[in-house]
Amino acid sequence: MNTGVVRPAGALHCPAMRSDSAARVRPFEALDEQELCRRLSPAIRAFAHRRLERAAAEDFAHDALLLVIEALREGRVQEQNQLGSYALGVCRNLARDRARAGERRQQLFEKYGVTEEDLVALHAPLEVKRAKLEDCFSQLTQRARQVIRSTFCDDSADAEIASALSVSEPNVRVIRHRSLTALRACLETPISWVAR
Amino acid sequence: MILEPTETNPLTRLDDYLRKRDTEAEAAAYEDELFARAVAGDAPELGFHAGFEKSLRAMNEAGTLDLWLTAKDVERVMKSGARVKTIVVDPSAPEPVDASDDFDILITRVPLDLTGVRRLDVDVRTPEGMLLKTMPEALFDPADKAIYGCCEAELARTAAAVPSRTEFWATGDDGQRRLLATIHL
Repeated sequence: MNTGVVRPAGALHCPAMRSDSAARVRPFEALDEQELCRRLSPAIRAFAHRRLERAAAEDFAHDALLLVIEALREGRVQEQNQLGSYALGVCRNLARDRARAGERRQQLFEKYGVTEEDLVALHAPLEVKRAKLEDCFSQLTQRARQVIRSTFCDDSADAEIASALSVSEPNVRVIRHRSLTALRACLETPISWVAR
Repeated sequence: MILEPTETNPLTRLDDYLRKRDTEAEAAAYEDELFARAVAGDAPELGFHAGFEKSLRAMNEAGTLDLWLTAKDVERVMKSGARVKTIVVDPSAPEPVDASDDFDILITRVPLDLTGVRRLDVDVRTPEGMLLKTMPEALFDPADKAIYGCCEAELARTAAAVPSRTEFWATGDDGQRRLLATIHL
């Protein structure tokens, strides 16, 4: 039985189940794919969290679960009692691949005298001066402030922002673009109180 | 109101790319061009966008992104763990702001009767009247009977160091705009 509804499975979410019968494989009578995902997810997460730091573990767990779902959809696992060992195999293979990538990275670090900290520093964006940003942000209209905050701080989609503000999606885009352009121009000028 | 689309500039083009507003083919072509420009040091929008987003998120988390807060917002800032200095600036008897001591955030409570006010705009001027900035649609809750200015230390010290005139313009239900209060500091 499968409802086709995506249900939360802890911090992980099984991808939406396709309802077209041609794309679906129903290898197990007792449990549907979503329930299997829900059961396996904590084990995969535990496997990942034992080996990786939080962000990487979440990424790993998603990849592993996706590979398990792929196997289910393609009918590569026919028996429910095989699924546990199959999933563990997926996790181990994925871990080996990542370990190899890690070893390769370590070799490159040593070869070229680069450190993890060097990479972090290279990736770190230069922050905008906060006093200036506060000064400039306050000069936007309420709607523009809301679009900028929703976009960059809340990671909201344009459709959500449009709905919240009762404007169209293209309008959200226009407001964001105009606000970004205005903020950038403002940030290049002296702070308001001393601009005299 | 429907606004006309903005013309493409590097920053807004980057925004469209990040939000998948383009086709895969357009994105692929853009990536070729973007990486070439980045290598040439000719893609300043990349650094701006990343830095802007990082600072914006940090300030939003700290509760200092908005310069005007309600009393409820102030409570949240007070509980944030930052060193918060609070002062009251009464428009009828303003005292000079002392921003010399150690703090992270300055909260300035300005008592105002906001009954019937639908919109509040704040202008900052030089003592001679030259407009320095307009802050449209300041956030407020009439029930607070005050508005709260919230500045991180650097902005607070910069603003406190120079004489200024702050005007609070209220627009009521009748659509009339009137000067609610002026603070000379």
